[in-house]
Amino acid sequence: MNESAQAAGHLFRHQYGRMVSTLTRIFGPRRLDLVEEVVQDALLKALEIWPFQGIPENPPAWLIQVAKNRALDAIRREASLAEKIPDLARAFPEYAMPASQHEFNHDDFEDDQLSMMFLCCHPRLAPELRVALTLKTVAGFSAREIARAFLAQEATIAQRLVRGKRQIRDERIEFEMPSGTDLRARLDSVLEVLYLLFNEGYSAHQGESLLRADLCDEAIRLARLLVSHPASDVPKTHALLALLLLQASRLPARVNAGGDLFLLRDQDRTLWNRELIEEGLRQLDASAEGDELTSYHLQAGIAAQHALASSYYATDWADITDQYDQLYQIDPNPVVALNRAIALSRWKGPEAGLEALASIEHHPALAHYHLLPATLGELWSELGQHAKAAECYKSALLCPCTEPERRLLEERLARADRR
Amino acid sequence: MPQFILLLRDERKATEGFSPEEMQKLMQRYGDWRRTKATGGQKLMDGEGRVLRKQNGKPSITDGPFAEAKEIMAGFFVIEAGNYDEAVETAKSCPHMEFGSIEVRQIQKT
Repeated sequence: MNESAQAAGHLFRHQYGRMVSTLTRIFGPRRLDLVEEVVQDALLKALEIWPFQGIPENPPAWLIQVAKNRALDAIRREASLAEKIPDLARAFPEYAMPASQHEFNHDDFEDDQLSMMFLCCHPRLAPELRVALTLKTVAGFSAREIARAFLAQEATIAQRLVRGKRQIRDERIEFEMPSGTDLRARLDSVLEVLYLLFNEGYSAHQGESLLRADLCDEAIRLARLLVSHPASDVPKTHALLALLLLQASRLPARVNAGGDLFLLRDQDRTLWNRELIEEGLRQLDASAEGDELTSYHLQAGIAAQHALASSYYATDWADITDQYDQLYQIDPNPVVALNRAIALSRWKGPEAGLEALASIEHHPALAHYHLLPATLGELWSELGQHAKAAECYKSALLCPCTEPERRLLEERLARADRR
Repeated sequence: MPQFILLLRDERKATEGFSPEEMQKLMQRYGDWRRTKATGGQKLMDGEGRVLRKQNGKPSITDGPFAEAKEIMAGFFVIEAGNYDEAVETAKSCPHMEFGSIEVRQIQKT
């Protein structure tokens, strides 16, 4: 599906994010609740009218006009009650004017969404609030959909949204595109949220698989928006976008129609999305600037090696191991060490992998991480030690994992037992 | 071909809490149905609706003739069908059946 078809496919959701962003600029972040309410109302209005009368010529303009009028009505009522704002036009000169081409032009929509992202990802907000707020206001997901994607209770997500909006109001967090030194810290927070969003969509394909692919799409859409704006068009943004694109290029080959997971080795590489790979490599090129080497650069570099390899066996495992080494320098966590050990084992053989894994085998952070024993199982079975491999697969199956992963592990276990 | 009017009634609460995505999907279902089955349709103005009757020789106004006070008349579609039963069959396929009721009436040819 091409991009414009996808955009039309999510018209309401994308319009929701655009409208919330633009109306938040006009009415201010402290009125975010009202803004969300009127946008929801406008979509409901469309749902009531469009089925009978057809879709208007310019759906976005129709929707935002309805939402804006509702907001004005509400504020007018509020104002007349409080008698605080006798002249609405003076208080809000921006919307006293008729909706002009200028007010709602395409670039403004995009700038508004970026400012909205910076608002939702403000460092003063707790990280879990940032993700929830971004998904709700910029990406147009409902609390229920967010809860489903993150396997959380809807009430928990709803609470986070309320808390986040209250904090934005109480601490008067502003709707703006940060600049200068402020930008640096705040951009990091936005990139982190997009990375998290993508990972959530990528790492599991359980249950609501469609929605999870949506998370990946949304993270990519927002990352593209970031690179298109001069303020956030910096090397690490390109590096993150490169990483997301290259990882997404493999999504079509990861799971078959029956929902079975394919490991990298077994994937049909002709199913990889070449367009995404091309774009990812271009972004990786664009990221090779400046003097900051981020974890996104290295992860994208690793993903690029995979994307460029004609087969699993033709992969440049030495380079990948090297990049994991550098990644470990920046981000010394045991999951990176695990992945490095896997790359090393492809390069130097299973014994080298097992040796590297010995140092993290009992790391508490990996105690319930199924991929550690699963990896050990693979390496032992490559060495012909099927009894040891079976033990590892058994402990992997005791850890939480998704349904397709569980099936894969059981299949491996059965094979090890047969030998 | 005889024409029929389908009067759609619902309770406004039916779509409460829908996400933008869910709303759009529902709207597309209505749209697809309209394009393939109906020859026309209009949304009716919001409001309860009033019925005018003559009582003791004077006009009297009562609220809409709906069984459920909560129900509102959302709009109508016009369809063509060979006979009344066919029209009912077509109406049954309308997504609106999940959210409310449909009254099927044949339009008198003049």
